[in-house]
Amino acid sequence: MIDRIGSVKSRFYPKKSMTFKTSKDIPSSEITDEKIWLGRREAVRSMGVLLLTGLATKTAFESKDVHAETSSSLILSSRDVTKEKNVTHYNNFYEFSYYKEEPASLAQALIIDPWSVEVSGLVEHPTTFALEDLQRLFPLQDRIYRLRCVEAWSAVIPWLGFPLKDLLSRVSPLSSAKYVKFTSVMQPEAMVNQRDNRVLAWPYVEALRLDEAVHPLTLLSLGMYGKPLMKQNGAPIRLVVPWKYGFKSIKSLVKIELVAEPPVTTWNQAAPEDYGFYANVNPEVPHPRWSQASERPLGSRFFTPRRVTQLFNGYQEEVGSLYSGMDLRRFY
Amino acid sequence: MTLQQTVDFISAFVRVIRKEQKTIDPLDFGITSPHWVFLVHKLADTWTFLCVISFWPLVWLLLLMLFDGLGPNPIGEFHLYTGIWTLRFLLVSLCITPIQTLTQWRGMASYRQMFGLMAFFYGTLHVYGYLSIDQGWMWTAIVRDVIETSYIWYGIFGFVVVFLLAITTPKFAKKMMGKSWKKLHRWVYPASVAVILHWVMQLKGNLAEPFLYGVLLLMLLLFRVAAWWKNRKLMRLMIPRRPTVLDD
Repeated sequence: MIDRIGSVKSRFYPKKSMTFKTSKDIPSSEITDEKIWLGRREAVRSMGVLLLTGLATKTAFESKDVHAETSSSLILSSRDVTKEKNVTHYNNFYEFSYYKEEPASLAQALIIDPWSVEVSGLVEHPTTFALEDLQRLFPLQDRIYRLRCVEAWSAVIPWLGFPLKDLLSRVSPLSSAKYVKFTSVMQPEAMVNQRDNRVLAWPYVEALRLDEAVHPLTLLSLGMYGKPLMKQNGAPIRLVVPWKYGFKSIKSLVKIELVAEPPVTTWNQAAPEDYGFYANVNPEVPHPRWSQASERPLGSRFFTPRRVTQLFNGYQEEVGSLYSGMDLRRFY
Repeated sequence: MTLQQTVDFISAFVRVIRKEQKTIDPLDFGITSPHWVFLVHKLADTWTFLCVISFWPLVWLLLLMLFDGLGPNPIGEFHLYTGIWTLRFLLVSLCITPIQTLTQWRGMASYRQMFGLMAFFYGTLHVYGYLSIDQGWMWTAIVRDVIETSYIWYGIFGFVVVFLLAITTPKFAKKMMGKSWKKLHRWVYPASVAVILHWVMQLKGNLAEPFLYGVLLLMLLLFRVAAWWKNRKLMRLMIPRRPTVLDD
């Protein structure tokens, strides 16, 4: 087997940095361990010097510093990022376990090499992309996004990925395509809960409306914290939709289909009252059994107040227009 | 203490718990230091011993809090931990009556009372933790959270019942209440069911653990139903039937 870490890492130097605004300032009380993030940059930089030419190392990471220093108040900066260990050791990955601490070890059984993503359905050029092709075709970007789980906990994660829009425009969707259906991997040898369809109907399926899918915030992620994705976080490739509850951001993606009708999605099928198709983060629409008004950021210590949840997870300015005129209580 | 003495000491302890022996003489086991003698005498009293170890979960929780052992979501873990121990002590207190009936041991009411109070203690910790460390006494946020979160309603019901049971612990309360004391304390059954529902409703699919506690609770409740049924039959036998009036 080739050295995956090395080979992927060599592609982890984005051409251009993109950081998205949130509508509100993030108070300094939320700041979580910048040392890890800053230290990582040093580590990657020194590795980069060894692995590559020095040229690539002074691109994105440094330009982000400029962002963080100049227009600090509106941008989710590297200082707001959740400690990496909290993001890699607190995962809902029901294919492996119902306990959030367990996927960190159990998911290591997942086989992710070789990996390919099939893009098909109502498109002009149905294509199956090998993971290497995706890495070659689509330059990776830095995106620091908020993640809000439907269970009322949250994190701020530095993703590395490319907009789903770029992939979709490459296969040219037909005009009849209205929805995008995503399917996760089926690997019952590794994913124990898939064996007798425990809890949910496997494989895991999620979907977006086409306009949501081509929104510039919607990301296909291959890495986080400057490294390839960990298996418990959905390696080797996953979806990230920052304004929706985490269960929409499907992990370990193998298939993307463009379809005309709204697809049946896994959680929606299991409990339609609890998990709507849209699943937009909305403090005004409680889950049937609990409030969504506030959230507990991962790594927040005792005596840290809860964070007030924002509409569309703080991305209202960017995505609000997608839902103008829609009754968000009805289409939750 | 030699190894043999240690083994003897433990078996003596077991005999005390089984009420086959009244107390332990530490001198028999080579314990001479007055402090240890005092401790052995104290702990050889089963009630005191169980009371002391019932605080172990609290000590462990404080250690976890101190040494960052509660994981990425420490406050969520705090709620789960104190909540589960509340349920455990509730179930243990519900075990006492069946144990008493089956073994015909006498005078275990004080144990039932102590474990019930332990359930109240951990339940209070749970509620206090929610109000203080989780919500920071922000009453508007708390009211909204409680209104929108239906599983909390079950928790509140359970806690109110356990609270009422706890404040009617003293002997004079029991005397004052007379027959209604027993009636009030029967509310522990619906309260235990509510506590399990309070837990189940927060979950999305992993119901194995609360299910196990639910089965245990069901068995404890069925025991009472069976006892009631048996008593009723006995009562019927004891009450003389009305003589049938026969026509001549």
